[in-house]
Amino acid sequence: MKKYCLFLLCAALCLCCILGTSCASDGNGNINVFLSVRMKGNGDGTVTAFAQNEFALCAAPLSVTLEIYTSDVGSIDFGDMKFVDSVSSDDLAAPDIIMLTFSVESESYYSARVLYSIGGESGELRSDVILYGVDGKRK
Amino acid sequence: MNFREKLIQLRDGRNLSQQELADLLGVSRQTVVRWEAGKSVPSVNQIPDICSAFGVDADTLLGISDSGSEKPPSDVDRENEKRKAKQVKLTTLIVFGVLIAAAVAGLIVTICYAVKDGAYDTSSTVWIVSIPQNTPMIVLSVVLTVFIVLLVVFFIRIIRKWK
Repeated sequence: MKKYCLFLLCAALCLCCILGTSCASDGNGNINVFLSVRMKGNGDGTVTAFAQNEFALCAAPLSVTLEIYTSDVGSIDFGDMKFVDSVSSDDLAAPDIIMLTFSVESESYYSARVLYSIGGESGELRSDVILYGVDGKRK
Repeated sequence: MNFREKLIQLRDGRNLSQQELADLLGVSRQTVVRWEAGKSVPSVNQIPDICSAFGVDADTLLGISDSGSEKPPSDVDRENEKRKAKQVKLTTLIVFGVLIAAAVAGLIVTICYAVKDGAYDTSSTVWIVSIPQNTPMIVLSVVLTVFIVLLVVFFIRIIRKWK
């Protein structure tokens, strides 16, 4: 039993050493980040969008911009949609959230987009296009 | 313990009858009976035969050293087997316990996440993963480390068996 425990301990130590060396503090190591974007009607004529760094392992600084777009026809192309508002964070560390609340002026389609940049890698994450009424509830 | 008592103990330890021991040593049963009754002792020439029959040295047989008074090998083997079975059972329990705990933890996290998602009108996620250039070498290092450890364990076992 002692031998097995010793073996497992050695294996765990080796793995930790290897993981430790691969997690470079300058952001050039592994990047493992779980990012989400969500929207929720508040029922008071407003809707809130959220961007959250759910989980990060050996992560470099995560730069995030949360944008809201609206459209009357339910377009899924942001080029055809009207920009509403945005909020940014230079380093969204897990499990931080940035949020953006906006008023629903008329019954329209809304979508949130997160533009992210981490370790020299950029990308975007889109939410679904949701129809909200002036009461701030999903239709 | 004198020769007479030692002889009885060794014979009982190996589940031999007096006749079987006599056959083993090439003497009559009465000779063995007399030895065990303390009425006679084996000749100097017979001592080596008795020692080799029981796998003990002359000192042990004649009661000079007490190393032969250990438990019969069959009992020791049984105890070792029991101990090994206990260890295997314990290891299995620990491994299964850890696996079940990990699975339950995973289930709880998944359910919490599903409940959290249900509270929103829409939810999208992305897993941003990038690996550094030296990742293949790191993976190879891990594999080789495990391989070397297994070889060392195997080598140590072989050396011990030889000894």
